[in-house]
Amino acid sequence: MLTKIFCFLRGYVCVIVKSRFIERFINICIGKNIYLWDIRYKNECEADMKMSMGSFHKIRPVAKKTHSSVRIQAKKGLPIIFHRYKKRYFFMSGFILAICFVFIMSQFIWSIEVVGNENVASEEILQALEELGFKKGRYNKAFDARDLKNNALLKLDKLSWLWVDIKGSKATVTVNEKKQAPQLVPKNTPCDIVALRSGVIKDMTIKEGQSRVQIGQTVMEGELLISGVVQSERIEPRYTHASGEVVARTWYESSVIYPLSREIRTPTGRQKKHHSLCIGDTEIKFFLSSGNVYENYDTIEKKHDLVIFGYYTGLSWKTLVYDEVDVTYEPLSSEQVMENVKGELESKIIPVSGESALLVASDLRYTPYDDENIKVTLTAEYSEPIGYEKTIEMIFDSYTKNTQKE
Amino acid sequence: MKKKKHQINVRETAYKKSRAERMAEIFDLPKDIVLNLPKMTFTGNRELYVENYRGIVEYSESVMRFNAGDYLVTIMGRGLGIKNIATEEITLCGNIKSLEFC
Repeated sequence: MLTKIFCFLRGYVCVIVKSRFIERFINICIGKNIYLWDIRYKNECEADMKMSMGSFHKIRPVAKKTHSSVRIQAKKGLPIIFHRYKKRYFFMSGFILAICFVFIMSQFIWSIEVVGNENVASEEILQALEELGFKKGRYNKAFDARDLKNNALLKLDKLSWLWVDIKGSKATVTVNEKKQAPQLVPKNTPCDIVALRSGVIKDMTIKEGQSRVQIGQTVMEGELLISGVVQSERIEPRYTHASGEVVARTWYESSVIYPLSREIRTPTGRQKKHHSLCIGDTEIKFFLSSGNVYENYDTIEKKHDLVIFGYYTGLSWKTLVYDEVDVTYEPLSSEQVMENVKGELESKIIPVSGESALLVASDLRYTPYDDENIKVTLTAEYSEPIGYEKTIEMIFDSYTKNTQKE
Repeated sequence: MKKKKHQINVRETAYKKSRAERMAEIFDLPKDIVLNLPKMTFTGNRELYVENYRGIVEYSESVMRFNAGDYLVTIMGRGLGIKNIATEEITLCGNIKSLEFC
């Protein structure tokens, strides 16, 4: 394999030798240091063989001596390829230019990817980096990752760590977010448990404090459920950190107005394409008119990035496809509308307690809105914990009031 | 009458080792260098690599004969070809059937 590559790089010729004494021809060649390989017997006085380009010029006296004729069958190798394109100056210059272009373009940053962020928006991180001068189209060796990390972390206080990894024209920003400490009410601070949402109390477990409501009672949002002030007849009021779980039935409602018909877009088959070349942020258009192509149309945008050897070169080819469509309306029954809207309405309802809420029942109804539209309403009943801790702020006020009464 | 035991003629079968060969054996020297003999390496029946040969005598698709100093080596086979050839070494390829010294 290695010798084959070496021969290809140096160039070789495949020849047919016609001679009565092929053995003699080979022996003399070897004696004269003419390297031969791949000798194949064809018939009594013919053989194929390969030899290097340089040694072909030395073959003439040997051929004369052995009364043989040597005919070139094919020339192969890199020098031959170069020779073929030697006079095609524009092809050569284009080839060299293309290589230079790829090389130069891969020295700049053309795509920045942010990895590892969940709550902090990528745009926010990119914005902070852009203020430090790190953005698309900049020379990739102009930045020191350590400096960039230190300065960017000063700007982004929600992140605990950041690292910029530049590989060719692609930069990957790896971040790690700070974990926010949950807001805790300290155990020694007196607090009440208050309703987060109106509902009917279903179940109550009190660990500390005094209950102010009963099971089956309707409570409004913000109403006191478990009081942190424990009062009794004999002893003075005691302030505690109330704790316990109050489960209540809560109701949620969401509604949407929806037309009683559906739009159907059928493509007519007529299509127009607008091409453009994007270099970085600038766009070179290859079309004249822009705007309304047809009366009704769908637009599809396709973008192909030019990536060579895994490096994005900053060039991309954008194609806008306009498909002409016929718009027709199909009448729908109210049941069909309700079926279509159900998912949308369900996603709109978000219970206050999040995942611990349990869906008990749901009801979907519709009411006529006007001639063409109906109003669909989804009512959902949940069973969920509604209590949350609220610090007692007026301790001393109420304390003084109580003492005054006595 | 006692039957005479059949005696093997030692001189006919065994060959006399030359002094150089004996010296090579005593000092554990490679014989191909000391005695200037060809060294052949087979790869199955597909390839034969010969070092220290003295030139091709006959070459065709089925027979190949080359000079190896004291001997003439004949190789019989099918589709014989020369993969590589240089002043002192040669690599043959093809379906080799037999090899003969004469």
